[in-house]
Amino acid sequence: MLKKLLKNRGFFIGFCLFSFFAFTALLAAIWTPYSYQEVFENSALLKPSAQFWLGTDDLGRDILSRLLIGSQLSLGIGILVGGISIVVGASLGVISGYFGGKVDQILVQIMNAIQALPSLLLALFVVAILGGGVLNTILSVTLVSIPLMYRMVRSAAIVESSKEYIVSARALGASDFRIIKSHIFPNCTTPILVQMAVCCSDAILNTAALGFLGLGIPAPYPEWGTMLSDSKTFIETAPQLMTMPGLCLLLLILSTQLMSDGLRDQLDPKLRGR
Amino acid sequence: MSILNKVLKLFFAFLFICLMSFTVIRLIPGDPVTNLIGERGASPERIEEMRKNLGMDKSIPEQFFIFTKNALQGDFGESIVSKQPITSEFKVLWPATFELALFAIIWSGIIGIVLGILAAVKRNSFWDYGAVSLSTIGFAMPIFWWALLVIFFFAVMLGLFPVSGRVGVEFEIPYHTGFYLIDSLFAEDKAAFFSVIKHMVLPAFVLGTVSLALIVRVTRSAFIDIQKEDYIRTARAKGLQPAQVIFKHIFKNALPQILTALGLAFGQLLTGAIMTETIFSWPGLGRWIIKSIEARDYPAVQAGVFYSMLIIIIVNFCTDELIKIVNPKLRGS
Amino acid sequence: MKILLISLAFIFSVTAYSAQNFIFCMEGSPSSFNPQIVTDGVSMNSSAQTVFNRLVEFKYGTTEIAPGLAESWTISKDKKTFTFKLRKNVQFHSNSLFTPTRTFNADDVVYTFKSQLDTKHPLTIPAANYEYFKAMELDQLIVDVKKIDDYTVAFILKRPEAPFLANLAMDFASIQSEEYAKSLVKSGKGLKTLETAPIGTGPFVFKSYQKDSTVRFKAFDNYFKGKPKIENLVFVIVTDSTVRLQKMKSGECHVMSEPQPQDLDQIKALKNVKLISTEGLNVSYVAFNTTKKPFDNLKVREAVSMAMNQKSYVDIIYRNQGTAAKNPIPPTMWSYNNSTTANSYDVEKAKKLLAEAGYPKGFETDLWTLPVSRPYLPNGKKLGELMQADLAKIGVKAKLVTFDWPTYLEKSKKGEHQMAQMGWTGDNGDPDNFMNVLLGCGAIQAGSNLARWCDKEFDGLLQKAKEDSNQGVRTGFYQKAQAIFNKQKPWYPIAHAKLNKVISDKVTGYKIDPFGHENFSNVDLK
Repeated sequence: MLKKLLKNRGFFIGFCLFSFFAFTALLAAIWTPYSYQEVFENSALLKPSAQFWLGTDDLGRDILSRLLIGSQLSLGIGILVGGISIVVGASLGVISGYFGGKVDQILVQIMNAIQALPSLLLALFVVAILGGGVLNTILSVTLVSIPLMYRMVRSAAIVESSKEYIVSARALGASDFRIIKSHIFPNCTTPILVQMAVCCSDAILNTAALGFLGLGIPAPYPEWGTMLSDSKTFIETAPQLMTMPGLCLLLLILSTQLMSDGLRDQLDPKLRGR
Repeated sequence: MSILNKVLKLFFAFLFICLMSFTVIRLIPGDPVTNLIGERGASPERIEEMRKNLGMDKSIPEQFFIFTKNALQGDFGESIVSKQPITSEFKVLWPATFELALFAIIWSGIIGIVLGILAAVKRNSFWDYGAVSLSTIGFAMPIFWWALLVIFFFAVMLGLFPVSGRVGVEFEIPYHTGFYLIDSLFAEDKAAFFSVIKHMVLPAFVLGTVSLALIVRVTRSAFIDIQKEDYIRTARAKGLQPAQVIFKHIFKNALPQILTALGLAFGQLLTGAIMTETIFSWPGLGRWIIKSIEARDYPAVQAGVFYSMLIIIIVNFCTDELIKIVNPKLRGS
Repeated sequence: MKILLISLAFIFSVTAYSAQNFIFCMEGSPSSFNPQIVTDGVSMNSSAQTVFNRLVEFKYGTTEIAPGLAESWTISKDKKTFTFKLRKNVQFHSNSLFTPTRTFNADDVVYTFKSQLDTKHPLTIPAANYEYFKAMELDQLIVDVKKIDDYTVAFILKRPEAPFLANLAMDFASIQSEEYAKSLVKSGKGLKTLETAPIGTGPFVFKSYQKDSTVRFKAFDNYFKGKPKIENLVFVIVTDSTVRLQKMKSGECHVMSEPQPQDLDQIKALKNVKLISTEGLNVSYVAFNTTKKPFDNLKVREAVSMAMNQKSYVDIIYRNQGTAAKNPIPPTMWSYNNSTTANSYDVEKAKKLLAEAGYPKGFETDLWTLPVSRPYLPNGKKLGELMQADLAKIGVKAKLVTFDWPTYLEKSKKGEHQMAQMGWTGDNGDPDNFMNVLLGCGAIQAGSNLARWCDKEFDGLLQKAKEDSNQGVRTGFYQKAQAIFNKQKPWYPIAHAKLNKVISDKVTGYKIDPFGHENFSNVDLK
């Protein structure tokens, strides 16, 4: 399947970009040029050089090292949130779509309530209520992404459960758990995969936005959004500071979106070219 | 759907947002009364007084009733930071955001629809690829970085536009409507009027790019779908002018989808406004919400939750109605 | 298209600004317009220096004391009674709520001080803390303020107090209108209105405040020292220093506060603006909350101080626009003790001390970082990141915490922090104004002693120094006190910063003030 997918140009580009960031994140785990927190004396705001490949920031810290650690953070949060939304959002979606009835109604209402506000605004309010910090940031961006997954999976599950073979399986007395496990879930993989990429990109963007507003992942972590907001002060004296974190962010988000588009096209050919 | 139904629906929506903003303040760890007063000058007597005023000594349903009643009258208490009634702050703030969002949606709507149509009509051409890549990148673009880039090129390097603010600091525009463009005309202050326009260009441009991507994408795909429909083929076969087909038939049928997208885009703009206003120091709702969150100004946060939901519900309602007007087929569904 | 082009051309050609506005671009928002209850410079400049006057005032640009609303004064032999002769025919401002029916007299002075002195006074603002008044210990010092006749007032003190006159020249001692306060109570508006609609005798009348955006003033026609030369004074709040500089360059601002150190070279090269600087009367520090674990332990304070690399802070954050601090007072102030030991940077020793204190693996704590750029500290957040990295080396995990400025002040006053960055700009030129306000036992209650440190010996020395009027004797006491400070380390002193202001070359008559005051009553535009 992957082979087929890679023939899709958008998916291919997205996959390459994503692999690149996955590589940098893994690389950062074992090697960075310097420690991301290390302050070099008399070397603030240096332009790229042999010693500092991407230059230094206003305190004299190596930008490349910070970007590398930053990729770990962004990617990590993206994948984590994608994962949690599968575990929570997709399970709830399947349950809701398969069983219907009261459970379904209540769940739909809850998700509606969560989605009544645009995602960033909701994430902001959650952070405002709980206070900042790594955990709370992840919590807030996760909360925001769960309904995205839920809705998609629920409608897929509804379609699936109304199919004849499921109805007859139920009539024959097969256990609900078995039906869900061996029929509903496998047939919902498409929307789940597509939505996971969407959740992932949303989470990355929202985390960066919170960081940019100074309410997200706190220092010392070199989160890209925070790096960008710090570079704002130097827009005149050192504009090179704002190029890399922004570009990385754009490319990473782009990669997840291209992958999600490609997945959808490939697995659901009706929508191709949309 | 009858009028009564609509009113009922709106009423429930209103109750819902009251419930949400009512709950928010109670989710914050600590005593809601102290949270609402903040740290400043909260003597025990004052706390008791507040508790009474807010009805916090009553049961939760009663409290909710009082809150809803106050909300209906637009009373959200005083801001902790500015000590002004929140409603009076909101009165000045929302026109700022609305003015900005309106300009953003106007330019992005026009350009987005035109680009989308071009891309759909000339499929696989330069226009198509351009529009698709533009919307793909637009979707992925973090708006705050985009804003910084725009500021860097147009304000810092070229010096064409001011870096931030809503009007030059030397102007004082008397309050009539809160919309500076209108108010400056009221004041017959030509210089102020142009200063307002000059300050508007960059933030409106940045904000509009968010919705542009969405509008291009939706317009394009709606057009492509409808082009495939039988009646369009028939119309073409009948020998109608391509332009006629596009505008008379396709556009009309694509309009509901485009309007839905515009409505959605407006919701997005609210999120975008938070970032844009913060970066451009635009004194609107978005920046106010951020400042209130930073300041732990809970009454303001509460009102912020309320107002932002209210705006979204109103916008959704209006788009639904509009769609029904342009497409009678959807009526009653 | 043509119309579009023409209108575009028109838009860009309109750059002529109306001339009578004088625009000061400042870095933060005022928290209130009542100088009695605020403590930060931004609020003081927006109220005390523009709207109000004091009995005695500092001569513009100096630390010398000159007559203000009082024409002259006499001090009794036992140095416990100060008698002031008041100026006649001084008008108060009026606003939409209030029009004065009488000129300034002794009642206003008595009201101003008694309402701060006595919490049961009918015109005391409910729940107000009068922090400055308390921090200066005037509530302990003043026994009574007496009206002798309409234009004579006597202050009776409990004990001789050397810096008393200088204290009265400070912003919090600004004279309010008794008539206004009474009318507010009567009309039911409440005394809280003093915070949003100030009435004073000063050079400028408060017109309006648009939150986080602008404060507008108008020249007071009947100002007793003569109407200011500029008609409209606008304080524009631009928190972002880059934007402030942009506005300065484009000619929107006439005076700009707090240029960032990294921009100074660029500013010096600019044609239409001038950079003026002077040695500041300030200090920045990290206060250890000595009432909370683990900072109640001297060894921990020593270890943390030793782990922080002061040189890098001065180099990177201040960019040589500041000197490393070791005492609580700046070196330009009399009684500065040169023999105390400077902060030393020694990670290994810090680790050892920490282990001795019972924290061999370090501990978790919070470090509050200044949310705004202040004259004494240009960038608290970045400094916080540097300190955080330094502390991590000895195993101390510091979480950076911050709030908006008013909340920061409020919460730190209550001692909710463990470590907090703070700073101080002197406001009367007396060492007492640093050491007693910031480290005296009385200042814990008032809130300005962020270390919440009360050392009996230190405090005793300050009290003795206060009662003596001989500067030589006082110097001895203060130097001893500094030595104790140096040993006990309630703070980690960071730096004394140079004061920089950027002014447009159109501005005349502007002087940079050692206290950081912004007073525009003498400035004009070319």
